[in-house]
Amino acid sequence: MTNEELKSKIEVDFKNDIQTVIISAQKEAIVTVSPEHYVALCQKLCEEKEYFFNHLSSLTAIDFPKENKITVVSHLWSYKHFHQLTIKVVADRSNPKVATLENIWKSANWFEREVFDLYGVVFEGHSDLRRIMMPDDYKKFPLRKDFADDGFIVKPS
Amino acid sequence: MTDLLLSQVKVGGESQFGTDEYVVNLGPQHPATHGVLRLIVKLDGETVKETVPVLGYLHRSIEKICENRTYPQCITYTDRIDYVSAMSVNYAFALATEKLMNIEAPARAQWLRMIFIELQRLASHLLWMGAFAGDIGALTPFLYGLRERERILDLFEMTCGQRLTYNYIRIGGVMIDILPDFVSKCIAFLDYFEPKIDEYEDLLTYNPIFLERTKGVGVISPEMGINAGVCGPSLRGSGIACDVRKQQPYLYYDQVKFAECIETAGDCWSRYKVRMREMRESVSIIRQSLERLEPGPIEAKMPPVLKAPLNSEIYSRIESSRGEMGVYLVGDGTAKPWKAKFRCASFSNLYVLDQLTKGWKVADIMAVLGSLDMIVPEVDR
Repeated sequence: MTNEELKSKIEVDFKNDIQTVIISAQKEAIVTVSPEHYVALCQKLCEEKEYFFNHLSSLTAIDFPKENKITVVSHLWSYKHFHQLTIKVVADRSNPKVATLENIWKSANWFEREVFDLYGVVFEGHSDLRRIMMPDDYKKFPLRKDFADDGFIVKPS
Repeated sequence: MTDLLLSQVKVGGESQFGTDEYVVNLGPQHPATHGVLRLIVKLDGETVKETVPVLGYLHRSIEKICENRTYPQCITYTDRIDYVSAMSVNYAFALATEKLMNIEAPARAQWLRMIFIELQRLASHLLWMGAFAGDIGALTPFLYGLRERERILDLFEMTCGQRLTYNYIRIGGVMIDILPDFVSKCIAFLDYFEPKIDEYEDLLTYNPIFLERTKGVGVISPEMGINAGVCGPSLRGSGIACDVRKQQPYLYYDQVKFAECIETAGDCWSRYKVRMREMRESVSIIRQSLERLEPGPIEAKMPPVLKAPLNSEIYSRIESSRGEMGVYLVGDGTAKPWKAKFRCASFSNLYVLDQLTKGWKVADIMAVLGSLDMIVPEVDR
C-alpha cells in the first residue's frame, strides 16, 4: 500500500483507537494513538493480513520538556507488503509510563530497555526492564534534554 | 569400587554427586568478542544454559552528541558508529538529512556513493570472513581477507585520504571527485578480486572442519528471526527476503541488476554462504556503476546553513554491510537535529544470541557470535 492508501485505510479501520493519522511533509504515514489503545492497535497492525507489519524496525523516544511530554516512536515495516508506518504514543514526562510491545515483537525487548535507560520511560509489563547501556547504579537519563545542564556536554562554539 | 562410583554418576545432574551450574565471564577483553563486549555465560558442564550480553562498554552516546552538533558535523560521528563499514553509515545519515531538507544529490555523486558503499561492503565482508574463520580456529582466511581488504582501503585512501573513518559521503554529494585513474585502478582490482572469492571458498566452504563447526549450529527459524528483529544477511540466511536495496530502493539500486542472496537453512553456514554470494553481487554492482559513471557535478546546490523545517521528521533505512541501518531525525527549525536515532543491525542481531546458543557447547558461542557479524560500537553507539 502507498502511504496515502495506508492513511485512509487506518482512518476507517481504527477510527476509535487512534487520535490522528497524518502524512508528514516527508511523505511518511504517522499515527498518533492514545495510550490505552496502543498495544491493541499494534497487535492488529501486526496480525491483520492487509497490514501485516511483521517487523519492528526501530523504537525510540523524543523528549519535549516544554510541553512536558515524552513521545515514544516506533517504526514498523512489512516484509510482505513493503510499507512503512510510524506509531507515536505520548507519555507524561514527569512519570512516563507506556505499555510494552514485547509480546508482539520480541525485538522490542532491547529497544525498550534502551529507551528506559536513556529516557526513563517505564514500559509496563516488560519482562526484563534493566539499564542496558549505562551502569546499573546510574541515576540519570542521558538523552533527556535537561541532562546537558549537568555540565557533561561541551557545546561547540 | 570404581564401577559403583561410575554407576552413581548420571548425565544431566541427577546423580548424588550432581553437577553445579557455574558462571563464566567472557570478555570484555577477549579477541573473539570483536570489541569490548562482555558475555556472562551460565554453563552446565560444557553446555550453555544462558548467555547474557552486557552492553555499554563502548557507549559514547553519539545520539546525544549529534543533538549538539550541526547536520554536517554529525557526519564525522557517524563514521565511529560502524568503523568497519563507515561509508554506509555516512550515507545513512546523509540520506536522512537529504530527505528531511529536500536535497537531491547529482547523478555523478549518487553513482560514486554506490561504488564506495559496495566497495565498503566488500571490505567489511572480507574482514568478517577472516574474523569469523579465526573465531572458530582457522587463522589463514584472516590473512587472505585482509590482503584484499588492503587494496580496497588503498582505493579509499587515494580518493579521500582516509583508510578507516572516511567522512567522504557528505550531505548533498561527496567530499571530492575521484582521481582520473581511479576507474582503471578499480576495474583492475575487481578483475584481481573476483577469482579470489573462489579461493576463499576453496579454503572454507566445504572444509570438513568448518562444516562441522557451522552446519546446523545456531539455527534462526524464519518466524523467530523476523519477530526478534534479526536483519540483513543473518535473516537472509533463514530464507527471508529482507534486502532494503530491493524493498525500498535508494540511490540507483533499482537501475542495476543484482540478485538478492538467500539461503534457507538458517544456520551459521547459511549466513556464511549469503555473505560470500553477496561479495560477488557487490562486484557486479560496482562494475555496472563504473560503466554508468558520467562527468558532472558532485555536490548539490545547498544553502550555506542547513536547517531542517520545524516539526519535520524522517525515518530512512539503508542496507549497510551488517543489515538494516535506520536513521531517525527530528528537525526543530534550527541547524541542529532535535533528535537523532541510529537503528543499527548489530544491536538487534545480538538480541537473539541467547536463544541461539542455548543448549549448545561453549565453543559454539564463538561460531554463532561470529556468524552474526556484530560490531560492538554499533551495538553500544
